[in-house]
Amino acid sequence: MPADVKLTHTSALILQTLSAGYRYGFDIMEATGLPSGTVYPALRRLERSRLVESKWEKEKTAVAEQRPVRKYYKLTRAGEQARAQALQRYRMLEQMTPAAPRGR
Amino acid sequence: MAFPSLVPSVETQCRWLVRIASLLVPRHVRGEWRAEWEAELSSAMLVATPAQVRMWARGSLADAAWHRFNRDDLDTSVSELVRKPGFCIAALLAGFALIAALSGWFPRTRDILMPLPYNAPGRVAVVSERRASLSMRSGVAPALAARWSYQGQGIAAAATYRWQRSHLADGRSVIAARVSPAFFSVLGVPLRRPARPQTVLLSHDFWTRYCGADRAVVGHVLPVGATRYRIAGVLPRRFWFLSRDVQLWEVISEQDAEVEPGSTGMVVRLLPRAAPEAVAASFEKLAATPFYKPTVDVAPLEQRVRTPLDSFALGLIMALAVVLAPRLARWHSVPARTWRNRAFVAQAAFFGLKTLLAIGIVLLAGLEFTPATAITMTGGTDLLTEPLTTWLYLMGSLGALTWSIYDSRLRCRVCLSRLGLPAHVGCPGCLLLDWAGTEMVCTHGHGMLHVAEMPSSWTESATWTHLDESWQELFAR
Repeated sequence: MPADVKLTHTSALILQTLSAGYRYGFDIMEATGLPSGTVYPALRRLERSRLVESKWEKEKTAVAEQRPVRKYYKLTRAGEQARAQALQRYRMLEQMTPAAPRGR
Repeated sequence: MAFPSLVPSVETQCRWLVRIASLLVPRHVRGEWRAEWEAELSSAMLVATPAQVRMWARGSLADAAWHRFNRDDLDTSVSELVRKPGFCIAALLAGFALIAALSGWFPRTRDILMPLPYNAPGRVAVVSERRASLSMRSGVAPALAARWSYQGQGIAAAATYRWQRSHLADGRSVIAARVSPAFFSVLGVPLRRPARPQTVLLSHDFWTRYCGADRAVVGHVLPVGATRYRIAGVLPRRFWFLSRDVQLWEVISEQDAEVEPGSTGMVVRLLPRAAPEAVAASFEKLAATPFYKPTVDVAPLEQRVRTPLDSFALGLIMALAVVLAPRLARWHSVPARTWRNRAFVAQAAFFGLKTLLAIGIVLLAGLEFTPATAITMTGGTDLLTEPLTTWLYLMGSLGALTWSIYDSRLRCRVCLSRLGLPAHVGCPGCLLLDWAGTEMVCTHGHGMLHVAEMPSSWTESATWTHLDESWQELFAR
C-alpha cells in the first residue's frame, strides 16, 4: 500500500487502538466499540495491505493463563506511518482510544 | 425433580455458530480462522454478558463471508470465471435447464422423440399439396380430399382436419380441431364409442384443467362458438396429433367437411406394404386436369413430426462444415508436434459443442414456447406461418452460429479463455501508412490477437501471435 494512503475512519481507529497496546480482535472490539463483523474483516484488510501483521502467541503463555492460544496483531512500520498520517486527518482519534491496561 | 435444560449453553451456541460460519472460509485458511475465533470466544465468555457474546459470535459470519467473497478478490474471480470456456458451456447448459424448468421438462420435444400414440403409427401419413411457388406445402381442397378418400389407391381410410381458434361460452379462447368422423379410426386411437358428428372430444389436459377431471362431464353439452356439441369422451393422456395445444376435437359430418371453405389437412392410413410414393402418384392422377397437374406429398407422420430434428442435424453439420473446412484445408501447413495441433483439436471440440448447444437452445425454445411454431414445425399446412416458422428457426440458428464464431475468434488459441485488455493501436485515418486496429491479450500470457480496424481484403482475418514461456512472467499473478 502506498505511503500516502487515505484510511477510512474505522481502519484508522483500529490502527490507533493497536498502537495503544490492544492486540487481539475481541480486545480491539471492546476498546473501539465497533462490532465484531467490522473489526475482524478490517484487520484482514489491514494485514493484506501490510499495515498490520499477526502472530500466534506462545503456547506456554496461553497454558499458563489456562486459555486457548490467541492470535495477536501489531502495527508494521508502514502501518505506523499510515497511522501518523491518519492522525493528522482525524485529529480526535487519539482521544477516542483508551490506553491499554498494563501488562498487555 | 429438575430436568436438564434442552437449550445449549451460550458458549456451545456460539461455538456452533463459529463452526457453521467456518464452512464459508476457504479450506486452506479454515483451521487457523476457527482457532482464532474459538480462542477469542473464551476471552469473550470471561468479560462479556451472554447477549454481548452472542452479538460478537454473529460477527463470525461477516468475517467468514469476507474471506470467501472479499470485494477485490470477488471482482477478479468473477472476471476470470466469465472468461473461461467452461463458463460459456455452463451458461448454455443453464439455458437448457431454464427451458426445461419453464416448459416442464420439454413436453413437446419428448412427444416428437417418443413413439406416436397410435395403432401401427408407421402406416399413418399426412397428405399435402406441394405448390410450385416457394416450394411450400399446403392443405388440399376439401372436395379433392373427399375424392381421394373414395378413389385413392393404397389407402385403408382417410380423414380431414383443420385448426381454428374457438371461443367457449365463458369467453375463453382455445385451439380446436374440426375433424371428420373417421379421424380417430384412421389414427387408430381406441375410443369407447365411435366419434359421431356434432360431438366433441376433450383433450386430457383440457379435461383436468377446465373440468376438474370430472368423469360426469361426458354427455353434457359444451357450447363452442355458435355450435352446441355433446361431449363424447376424453382422449387418452398421451394422445396428440401434430400439436399438444389442441384442446378440443370437434367432430363434424362428412358432408360439412366436404364443403368447408379454403383448404384442409388430410391424414390417411396406408394399406400394409403400400408405398407413400405410389399413393401420392395415384392422388396426382386423380387430381390432374388438362390445365393443372398437382404435386402431392404423402409423408409418413413419424417422419413429418421429426422434421425439426432432421433440420437441426442438417443445419448443424452444414454449419460445422462451413466453419471447419477452411481450417482443415490449412491443416497440412500446421507443423506437427507443436502446441498448435493440440490447440486446434481443443478449439474445434469447443466450437462444435458450443454451436451444438446454442442451436439446440434455439430449436428447443422454438418448439416449447411458440405453440403456433410447434404446430407448423411438426406438420402444419398453413401457407403463412410455415415459411415464417422456418425463417424464425433459420434466423435464430444463424444468430447462434454467428455468435459462436465471433466468440471463438475472441478466445485464446491455447487455453480458450476470452481475451481481454483491448488496446487501440494506430490511427484509423492513416490506414495507408500504417496498421491500425485493436490488440487483445490472453490474461494468462499465451498470446495476442491483432484485429485490423478495416481489413484490406475479405481474406484478411485477425492475426494471432503466440507468446512463448518467456512472456509468462509478465502475466504472473
